[in-house]
Amino acid sequence: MTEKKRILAAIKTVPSLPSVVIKLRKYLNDPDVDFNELAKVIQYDPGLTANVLQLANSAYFGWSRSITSVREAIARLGTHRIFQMVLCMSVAPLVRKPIRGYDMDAGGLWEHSIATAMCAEQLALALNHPEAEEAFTAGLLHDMGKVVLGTFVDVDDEPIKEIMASDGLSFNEAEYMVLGIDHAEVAGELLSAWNLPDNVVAAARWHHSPRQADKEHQALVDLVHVADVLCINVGWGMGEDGLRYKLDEKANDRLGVKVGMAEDVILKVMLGLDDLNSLFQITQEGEPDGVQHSTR
Amino acid sequence: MTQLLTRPTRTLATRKTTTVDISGMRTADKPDDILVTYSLGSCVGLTLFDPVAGVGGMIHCMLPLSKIDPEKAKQKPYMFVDTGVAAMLGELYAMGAKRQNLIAKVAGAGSPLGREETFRIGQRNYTILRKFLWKNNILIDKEDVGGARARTLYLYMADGRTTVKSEGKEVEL
Repeated sequence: MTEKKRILAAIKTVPSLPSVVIKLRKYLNDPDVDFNELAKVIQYDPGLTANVLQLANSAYFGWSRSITSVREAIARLGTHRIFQMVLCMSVAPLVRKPIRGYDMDAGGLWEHSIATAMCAEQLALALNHPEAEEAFTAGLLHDMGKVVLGTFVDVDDEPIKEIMASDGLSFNEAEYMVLGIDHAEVAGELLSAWNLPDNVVAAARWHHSPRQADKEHQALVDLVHVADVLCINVGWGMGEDGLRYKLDEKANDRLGVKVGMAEDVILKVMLGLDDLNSLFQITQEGEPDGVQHSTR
Repeated sequence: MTQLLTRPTRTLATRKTTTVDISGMRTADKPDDILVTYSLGSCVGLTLFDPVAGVGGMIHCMLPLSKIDPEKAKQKPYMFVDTGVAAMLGELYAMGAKRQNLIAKVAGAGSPLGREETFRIGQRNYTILRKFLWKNNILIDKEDVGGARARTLYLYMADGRTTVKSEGKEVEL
Protein backbone atom coordinates (compact mmCIF):
# COMPACT_ATOMS: atom_id res chain seq x y z
CA MET A 1 0.00 0.00 0.00
CA THR A 2 1.43 3.42 -0.90
CA GLU A 3 1.78 6.05 1.80
CA LYS A 4 -1.04 8.06 0.21
CA LYS A 5 -3.38 5.06 0.20
CA ARG A 6 -2.51 4.35 3.84
CA ILE A 7 -3.36 7.96 4.72
CA LEU A 8 -6.64 7.93 2.79
CA ALA A 9 -7.58 4.69 4.54
CA ALA A 10 -6.80 6.28 7.92
CA ILE A 11 -9.37 9.02 7.25
CA LYS A 12 -12.05 6.37 7.64
CA THR A 13 -10.86 5.67 11.19
CA VAL A 14 -11.43 9.28 12.33
CA PRO A 15 -14.62 9.51 14.40
CA SER A 16 -17.47 11.11 12.50
CA LEU A 17 -19.02 14.34 13.72
CA PRO A 18 -21.44 13.93 16.63
CA SER A 19 -25.05 13.48 15.60
CA VAL A 20 -26.02 16.77 17.25
CA VAL A 21 -23.85 18.65 14.71
CA ILE A 22 -25.52 16.85 11.82
CA LYS A 23 -28.98 17.58 13.23
CA LEU A 24 -28.12 21.25 13.75
CA ARG A 25 -26.83 21.56 10.18
CA LYS A 26 -30.21 20.50 8.86
CA TYR A 27 -31.84 23.40 10.68
CA LEU A 28 -29.31 25.99 9.52
CA ASN A 29 -30.96 27.01 6.29
CA ASP A 30 -34.53 26.56 7.43
CA PRO A 31 -36.14 29.99 7.84
CA ASP A 32 -39.12 28.45 9.63
CA VAL A 33 -37.04 26.65 12.21
CA ASP A 34 -38.80 26.18 15.54
CA PHE A 35 -36.43 27.44 18.26
CA ASN A 36 -38.01 25.10 20.82
CA GLU A 37 -37.28 22.08 18.61
CA LEU A 38 -33.73 23.27 18.02
CA ALA A 39 -33.19 23.90 21.74
CA LYS A 40 -34.32 20.34 22.47
CA VAL A 41 -31.55 18.94 20.26
CA ILE A 42 -28.98 20.62 22.50
CA GLN A 43 -30.74 20.27 25.86
CA TYR A 44 -30.81 16.52 25.40
CA ASP A 45 -27.16 16.68 26.45
CA PRO A 46 -26.58 18.49 29.80
CA GLY A 47 -22.80 18.83 29.30
CA LEU A 48 -23.33 20.39 25.89
CA THR A 49 -26.01 22.72 27.27
CA ALA A 50 -23.62 24.01 29.96
CA ASN A 51 -20.90 24.56 27.37
CA VAL A 52 -23.23 26.34 24.94
CA LEU A 53 -24.35 28.69 27.71
CA GLN A 54 -20.77 29.45 28.68
CA LEU A 55 -19.87 30.27 25.09
CA ALA A 56 -23.08 32.24 24.57
CA ASN A 57 -21.99 34.47 27.44
CA SER A 58 -18.44 34.95 26.17
CA ALA A 59 -17.44 38.31 24.76
CA TYR A 60 -16.47 36.93 21.36
CA PHE A 61 -19.41 34.66 20.64
CA GLY A 62 -22.20 36.38 22.39
CA TRP A 63 -23.31 38.78 25.00
CA SER A 64 -22.01 39.60 28.40
CA ARG A 65 -23.18 37.18 31.03
CA SER A 66 -26.91 37.45 30.56
CA ILE A 67 -28.07 34.46 28.50
CA THR A 68 -29.56 31.81 30.75
CA SER A 69 -31.23 29.29 28.44
CA VAL A 70 -30.44 27.52 25.19
CA ARG A 71 -33.60 28.87 23.62
CA GLU A 72 -32.58 32.42 24.48
CA ALA A 73 -29.11 31.77 23.10
CA ILE A 74 -30.60 30.61 19.79
CA ALA A 75 -32.98 33.57 19.60
CA ARG A 76 -30.33 36.16 20.41
CA LEU A 77 -27.27 34.74 18.66
CA GLY A 78 -28.86 32.95 15.70
CA THR A 79 -28.71 29.36 14.52
CA HIS A 80 -25.36 29.79 12.75
CA ARG A 81 -23.63 30.96 15.92
CA ILE A 82 -25.05 28.03 17.87
CA PHE A 83 -23.89 25.65 15.13
CA GLN A 84 -20.39 27.15 15.26
CA MET A 85 -20.24 26.81 19.04
CA VAL A 86 -21.34 23.16 18.95
CA LEU A 87 -18.88 22.46 16.12
CA CYS A 88 -16.05 24.02 18.17
CA MET A 89 -16.88 21.76 21.10
CA SER A 90 -17.18 18.74 18.82
CA VAL A 91 -13.75 19.06 17.21
CA ALA A 92 -12.00 20.26 20.40
CA PRO A 93 -11.28 16.72 21.72
CA LEU A 94 -9.59 15.82 18.40
CA VAL A 95 -7.74 19.08 17.90
CA ARG A 96 -6.58 19.64 21.47
CA LYS A 97 -4.43 16.52 21.58
CA PRO A 98 -0.69 16.85 21.04
CA ILE A 99 -0.08 16.57 17.28
CA ARG A 100 2.99 14.33 17.27
CA GLY A 101 3.99 14.55 13.61
CA TYR A 102 4.03 18.35 13.79
CA ASP A 103 5.74 18.63 17.17
CA MET A 104 2.75 20.51 18.51
CA ASP A 105 1.89 20.45 22.20
CA ALA A 106 -1.62 19.78 23.43
CA GLY A 107 -3.69 22.81 22.62
CA GLY A 108 -1.38 24.17 19.92
CA LEU A 109 -3.48 23.16 16.94
CA TRP A 110 -6.61 24.11 18.85
CA GLU A 111 -5.27 27.63 19.33
CA HIS A 112 -4.33 27.87 15.66
CA SER A 113 -7.72 26.55 14.52
CA ILE A 114 -9.82 28.85 16.68
CA ALA A 115 -7.56 31.82 15.82
CA THR A 116 -7.89 31.14 12.09
CA ALA A 117 -11.67 30.78 12.47
CA MET A 118 -11.95 34.16 14.17
CA CYS A 119 -9.45 35.76 11.79
CA ALA A 120 -11.28 34.54 8.66
CA GLU A 121 -14.58 35.70 10.10
CA GLN A 122 -13.21 39.12 11.10
CA LEU A 123 -11.61 39.60 7.67
CA ALA A 124 -14.95 38.77 6.02
CA LEU A 125 -16.75 41.26 8.27
CA ALA A 126 -14.14 43.98 7.63
CA LEU A 127 -14.49 43.39 3.87
CA ASN A 128 -18.29 43.27 4.01
CA HIS A 129 -18.10 39.80 2.57
CA PRO A 130 -21.33 37.77 2.86
CA GLU A 131 -19.66 34.49 3.87
CA ALA A 132 -18.50 35.47 7.38
CA GLU A 133 -20.25 32.50 9.00
CA GLU A 134 -18.79 29.98 6.59
CA ALA A 135 -15.40 31.66 7.00
CA PHE A 136 -15.48 30.87 10.71
CA THR A 137 -16.42 27.23 10.11
CA ALA A 138 -13.87 26.73 7.32
CA GLY A 139 -11.15 28.46 9.37
CA LEU A 140 -11.88 26.21 12.32
CA LEU A 141 -11.57 23.04 10.24
CA HIS A 142 -8.89 23.94 7.66
CA ASP A 143 -6.06 22.06 9.40
CA MET A 144 -7.97 18.88 10.30
CA GLY A 145 -5.58 17.12 7.92
CA LYS A 146 -2.83 17.67 10.49
CA VAL A 147 -4.92 15.75 13.02
CA VAL A 148 -5.19 12.81 10.61
CA LEU A 149 -1.49 12.86 9.67
CA GLY A 150 -0.15 13.65 13.12
CA THR A 151 -2.46 11.50 15.23
CA PHE A 152 -4.21 8.81 13.20
CA VAL A 153 -1.30 8.07 10.85
CA ASP A 154 2.08 7.79 12.51
CA VAL A 155 3.78 9.89 9.88
CA ASP A 156 7.58 9.92 10.07
CA ASP A 157 8.26 13.63 9.96
CA GLU A 158 12.07 13.43 9.65
CA PRO A 159 12.17 13.10 5.82
CA ILE A 160 9.65 15.97 5.55
CA LYS A 161 11.80 18.22 7.71
CA GLU A 162 14.96 17.22 5.83
CA ILE A 163 13.60 17.95 2.37
CA MET A 164 11.98 21.17 3.60
CA ALA A 165 15.31 22.45 4.92
CA SER A 166 17.51 21.24 2.06
CA ASP A 167 15.27 22.32 -0.82
CA GLY A 168 13.79 25.47 0.72
CA LEU A 169 10.28 24.11 0.29
CA SER A 170 7.17 25.12 2.15
CA PHE A 171 6.00 22.54 4.68
CA ASN A 172 3.03 21.42 2.59
CA GLU A 173 5.23 21.06 -0.53
CA ALA A 174 7.62 18.87 1.48
CA GLU A 175 4.67 16.81 2.76
CA TYR A 176 3.55 16.26 -0.81
CA MET A 177 7.04 15.24 -1.95
CA VAL A 178 7.39 12.66 0.82
CA LEU A 179 3.83 11.40 1.32
CA GLY A 180 2.24 12.05 -2.08
CA ILE A 181 -0.43 14.11 -0.31
CA ASP A 182 -0.40 17.19 1.94
CA HIS A 183 -2.43 18.07 5.03
CA ALA A 184 -4.72 20.34 2.99
CA GLU A 185 -5.81 17.52 0.66
CA VAL A 186 -6.27 15.21 3.65
CA ALA A 187 -8.45 17.86 5.31
CA GLY A 188 -10.54 18.15 2.14
CA GLU A 189 -11.09 14.38 2.11
CA LEU A 190 -12.02 14.27 5.79
CA LEU A 191 -14.47 17.20 5.63
CA SER A 192 -16.01 15.71 2.52
CA ALA A 193 -16.48 12.40 4.39
CA TRP A 194 -18.10 14.44 7.18
CA ASN A 195 -20.62 15.75 4.59
CA LEU A 196 -19.76 19.39 5.20
CA PRO A 197 -20.75 21.96 2.54
CA ASP A 198 -18.68 22.14 -0.66
CA ASN A 199 -17.37 25.64 0.03
CA VAL A 200 -16.05 24.61 3.48
CA VAL A 201 -14.44 21.50 1.95
CA ALA A 202 -12.87 23.63 -0.82
CA ALA A 203 -11.50 26.16 1.70
CA ALA A 204 -9.70 23.40 3.59
CA ARG A 205 -8.56 21.64 0.41
CA TRP A 206 -7.00 24.72 -1.21
CA HIS A 207 -5.95 26.78 1.80
CA HIS A 208 -2.29 26.61 0.73
CA SER A 209 -2.91 26.86 -3.01
CA PRO A 210 -5.88 29.21 -3.46
CA ARG A 211 -5.25 29.68 -7.18
CA GLN A 212 -6.40 26.10 -7.77
CA ALA A 213 -9.85 26.62 -6.27
CA ASP A 214 -13.05 26.73 -8.33
CA LYS A 215 -14.30 30.24 -9.05
CA GLU A 216 -17.49 29.71 -7.04
CA HIS A 217 -15.47 28.98 -3.88
CA GLN A 218 -12.64 31.41 -4.57
CA ALA A 219 -13.54 34.11 -2.05
CA LEU A 220 -13.95 31.71 0.88
CA VAL A 221 -10.71 29.91 -0.04
CA ASP A 222 -8.90 33.27 -0.21
CA LEU A 223 -10.27 34.33 3.18
CA VAL A 224 -9.09 31.14 4.88
CA HIS A 225 -5.73 31.29 3.11
CA VAL A 226 -4.98 34.86 4.22
CA ALA A 227 -6.34 34.23 7.74
CA ASP A 228 -4.17 31.11 8.06
CA VAL A 229 -1.01 32.94 6.96
CA LEU A 230 -1.72 35.82 9.35
CA CYS A 231 -2.20 33.40 12.26
CA ILE A 232 0.96 31.48 11.31
CA ASN A 233 2.76 34.84 11.23
CA VAL A 234 1.66 35.75 14.71
CA GLY A 235 2.62 32.31 16.01
CA TRP A 236 -0.76 31.07 17.19
CA GLY A 237 -0.27 27.33 17.55
CA MET A 238 3.10 27.17 15.90
CA GLY A 239 4.62 23.75 15.28
CA GLU A 240 7.87 22.65 13.73
CA ASP A 241 6.57 23.88 10.38
CA GLY A 242 7.16 27.39 11.76
CA LEU A 243 6.54 30.10 9.16
CA ARG A 244 7.33 27.78 6.28
CA TYR A 245 4.30 28.68 4.20
CA LYS A 246 3.77 31.11 1.36
CA LEU A 247 1.30 33.95 1.17
CA ASP A 248 -0.35 34.01 -2.26
CA GLU A 249 -0.27 37.74 -2.94
CA LYS A 250 -2.91 37.35 -5.65
CA ALA A 251 -5.37 35.87 -3.14
CA ASN A 252 -4.75 38.84 -0.92
CA ASP A 253 -5.15 41.28 -3.83
CA ARG A 254 -8.48 39.68 -4.80
CA LEU A 255 -9.75 40.27 -1.27
CA GLY A 256 -8.12 43.70 -0.92
CA VAL A 257 -6.74 43.25 2.61
CA LYS A 258 -4.42 46.11 3.54
CA VAL A 259 -1.87 46.23 6.36
CA GLY A 260 -4.04 48.36 8.66
CA MET A 261 -7.02 46.03 8.26
CA ALA A 262 -4.86 42.95 8.87
CA GLU A 263 -3.44 44.43 12.07
CA ASP A 264 -6.87 45.48 13.28
CA VAL A 265 -8.17 41.95 12.68
CA ILE A 266 -5.18 40.41 14.50
CA LEU A 267 -5.93 42.65 17.46
CA LYS A 268 -9.58 41.50 17.55
CA VAL A 269 -8.50 37.85 17.35
CA MET A 270 -6.03 38.33 20.21
CA LEU A 271 -8.77 39.70 22.46
CA GLY A 272 -11.19 36.97 21.37
CA LEU A 273 -8.60 34.26 22.05
CA ASP A 274 -7.98 35.52 25.57
CA ASP A 275 -11.66 35.14 26.24
CA LEU A 276 -12.18 31.74 24.59
CA ASN A 277 -8.98 30.10 25.82
CA SER A 278 -9.98 30.57 29.42
CA LEU A 279 -13.47 29.28 28.64
CA PHE A 280 -12.24 26.18 26.85
CA GLN A 281 -9.79 25.37 29.61
CA ILE A 282 -12.77 25.20 31.93
CA THR A 283 -14.90 23.18 29.55
CA GLN A 284 -12.09 20.71 28.93
CA GLU A 285 -12.58 19.20 32.37
CA GLY A 286 -16.11 18.31 31.46
CA GLU A 287 -15.20 17.25 27.96
CA PRO A 288 -15.84 13.49 28.22
CA ASP A 289 -19.41 14.29 29.17
CA GLY A 290 -19.70 17.02 26.55
CA VAL A 291 -20.20 15.99 22.96
CA GLN A 292 -19.95 12.30 22.30
CA HIS A 293 -18.28 11.31 19.05
CA SER A 294 -19.85 8.43 17.28
CA THR A 295 -17.56 5.97 15.53
CA ARG A 296 -18.01 4.79 12.01
CA MET B 1 27.44 7.38 52.12
CA THR B 2 29.41 10.59 52.49
CA GLN B 3 27.90 11.85 49.27
CA LEU B 4 24.41 11.42 50.61
CA LEU B 5 25.27 13.41 53.72
CA THR B 6 26.62 16.42 51.84
CA ARG B 7 24.43 19.48 51.65
CA PRO B 8 22.26 19.43 48.58
CA THR B 9 23.29 21.99 46.00
CA ARG B 10 20.77 23.98 43.98
CA THR B 11 19.04 21.79 41.48
CA LEU B 12 16.91 22.54 38.46
CA ALA B 13 13.87 21.91 40.63
CA THR B 14 14.58 25.08 42.61
CA ARG B 15 14.58 27.16 39.43
CA LYS B 16 11.47 29.02 38.57
CA THR B 17 10.57 29.22 34.89
CA THR B 18 8.06 31.86 33.92
CA THR B 19 6.40 31.85 30.50
CA VAL B 20 5.89 35.13 28.72
CA ASP B 21 2.71 34.84 26.64
CA ILE B 22 2.11 36.41 23.22
CA SER B 23 1.50 40.11 23.97
CA GLY B 24 2.95 39.63 27.45
CA MET B 25 5.92 40.89 29.48
CA ARG B 26 7.55 39.54 32.63
CA THR B 27 10.33 40.82 34.83
CA ALA B 28 12.57 38.85 37.19
CA ASP B 29 15.05 39.65 39.95
CA LYS B 30 16.13 36.29 41.38
CA PRO B 31 19.17 34.36 40.12
CA ASP B 32 17.11 31.16 39.91
CA ASP B 33 14.52 32.72 37.62
CA ILE B 34 14.27 31.74 33.96
CA LEU B 35 12.07 33.63 31.54
CA VAL B 36 10.89 31.93 28.35
CA THR B 37 8.65 32.80 25.43
CA TYR B 38 7.50 30.34 22.76
CA SER B 39 6.24 30.57 19.19
CA LEU B 40 8.04 33.70 18.03
CA GLY B 41 7.04 34.04 14.39
CA SER B 42 6.73 37.55 13.04
CA CYS B 43 6.40 38.70 16.66
CA VAL B 44 9.48 40.17 18.23
CA GLY B 45 10.99 39.06 21.54
CA LEU B 46 13.27 41.36 23.53
CA THR B 47 15.28 40.60 26.65
CA LEU B 48 16.74 43.35 28.80
CA PHE B 49 19.18 42.43 31.58
CA ASP B 50 21.01 44.64 34.08
CA PRO B 51 23.86 42.57 35.53
CA VAL B 52 24.60 45.19 38.22
CA ALA B 53 21.08 45.43 39.64
CA GLY B 54 20.36 41.77 38.87
CA VAL B 55 17.06 42.55 37.23
CA GLY B 56 15.79 41.60 33.79
CA GLY B 57 12.73 41.27 31.66
CA MET B 58 11.34 39.71 28.53
CA ILE B 59 8.59 40.94 26.21
CA HIS B 60 6.76 39.26 23.29
CA CYS B 61 5.23 41.95 21.05
CA MET B 62 2.81 41.09 18.28
CA LEU B 63 2.44 44.32 16.32
CA PRO B 64 4.62 47.39 15.80
CA LEU B 65 2.52 50.45 16.60
CA SER B 66 -0.35 51.09 19.00
CA LYS B 67 -1.85 53.86 16.88
CA ILE B 68 -4.19 51.31 15.21
CA ASP B 69 -6.19 51.18 18.46
CA PRO B 70 -4.92 53.35 21.32
CA GLU B 71 -7.81 52.26 23.58
CA LYS B 72 -6.98 48.56 23.22
CA ALA B 73 -3.31 49.42 23.72
CA LYS B 74 -4.23 50.62 27.21
CA GLN B 75 -5.75 47.19 27.96
CA LYS B 76 -2.83 45.28 26.42
CA PRO B 77 0.20 47.56 26.24
CA TYR B 78 2.67 44.72 25.67
CA MET B 79 0.93 43.72 22.45
CA PHE B 80 2.64 46.62 20.65
CA VAL B 81 6.33 47.40 20.38
CA ASP B 82 5.94 51.11 21.11
CA THR B 83 3.72 50.95 24.21
CA GLY B 84 5.12 47.58 25.35
CA VAL B 85 8.81 48.38 25.42
CA ALA B 86 8.10 51.77 27.01
CA ALA B 87 6.15 50.07 29.82
CA MET B 88 8.85 47.39 30.16
CA LEU B 89 11.59 50.00 30.56
CA GLY B 90 9.48 51.81 33.15
CA GLU B 91 9.11 48.63 35.21
CA LEU B 92 12.77 47.71 34.98
CA TYR B 93 13.85 51.20 36.04
CA ALA B 94 11.43 51.03 38.98
CA MET B 95 13.13 47.76 39.99
CA GLY B 96 16.50 49.49 40.06
CA ALA B 97 17.83 48.86 36.55
CA LYS B 98 19.97 51.57 34.96
CA ARG B 99 19.77 52.34 31.27
CA GLN B 100 23.54 52.31 30.78
CA ASN B 101 23.80 48.78 32.22
CA LEU B 102 21.00 47.22 30.15
CA ILE B 103 21.99 44.46 27.75
CA ALA B 104 19.41 44.10 24.96
CA LYS B 105 18.94 40.96 22.91
CA VAL B 106 16.33 40.41 20.21
CA ALA B 107 14.81 37.34 18.55
CA GLY B 108 11.94 36.68 16.12
CA ALA B 109 10.61 39.11 13.51
CA GLY B 110 10.39 36.27 11.01
CA SER B 111 8.32 36.16 7.85
CA PRO B 112 6.67 33.49 5.71
CA LEU B 113 8.47 32.05 2.69
CA GLY B 114 8.55 33.81 -0.63
CA ARG B 115 8.26 37.47 -1.48
CA GLU B 116 5.88 38.43 1.26
CA GLU B 117 5.43 42.08 0.53
CA THR B 118 1.96 42.88 1.73
CA PHE B 119 2.06 42.72 5.49
CA ARG B 120 5.77 42.59 6.45
CA ILE B 121 4.74 42.42 10.12
CA GLY B 122 8.03 40.86 11.24
CA GLN B 123 10.17 43.40 9.44
CA ARG B 124 8.13 46.29 10.78
CA ASN B 125 8.19 44.92 14.33
CA TYR B 126 11.97 44.79 14.15
CA THR B 127 12.36 48.26 12.61
CA ILE B 128 10.15 49.93 15.19
CA LEU B 129 11.89 48.09 18.05
CA ARG B 130 15.31 49.11 16.83
CA LYS B 131 14.22 52.71 16.43
CA PHE B 132 12.61 52.80 19.86
CA LEU B 133 15.69 51.35 21.58
CA TRP B 134 17.95 53.72 19.66
CA LYS B 135 15.88 56.71 20.80
CA ASN B 136 16.32 55.46 24.35
CA ASN B 137 20.09 55.11 23.90
CA ILE B 138 20.01 51.33 24.10
CA LEU B 139 21.92 49.38 21.47
CA ILE B 140 20.99 45.83 20.54
CA ASP B 141 23.84 43.61 21.78
CA LYS B 142 22.90 40.40 19.92
CA GLU B 143 20.02 39.29 17.74
CA ASP B 144 18.59 36.35 15.82
CA VAL B 145 15.91 37.75 13.53
CA GLY B 146 14.21 37.16 10.18
CA GLY B 147 13.72 33.98 8.17
CA ALA B 148 10.89 31.46 8.36
CA ARG B 149 11.92 29.71 11.59
CA ALA B 150 9.84 29.53 14.74
CA ARG B 151 11.87 30.52 17.77
CA THR B 152 11.78 30.06 21.54
CA LEU B 153 13.68 32.66 23.59
CA TYR B 154 15.17 32.06 27.07
CA LEU B 155 16.70 34.45 29.61
CA TYR B 156 18.60 32.89 32.53
CA MET B 157 18.70 35.40 35.34
CA ALA B 158 21.69 33.73 37.05
CA ASP B 159 24.07 35.29 34.54
CA GLY B 160 21.93 36.98 31.91
CA ARG B 161 22.60 34.19 29.42
CA THR B 162 20.12 34.43 26.55
CA THR B 163 19.48 31.54 24.20
CA VAL B 164 17.30 30.87 21.17
CA LYS B 165 15.90 27.42 20.46
CA SER B 166 14.80 26.77 16.91
CA GLU B 167 14.30 23.64 14.83
CA GLY B 168 15.71 21.46 17.61
CA LYS B 169 18.88 23.50 18.24
CA GLU B 170 19.54 25.88 21.13
CA VAL B 171 22.17 28.56 20.56
CA GLU B 172 23.43 31.34 22.79
CA LEU B 173 22.89 34.90 21.71
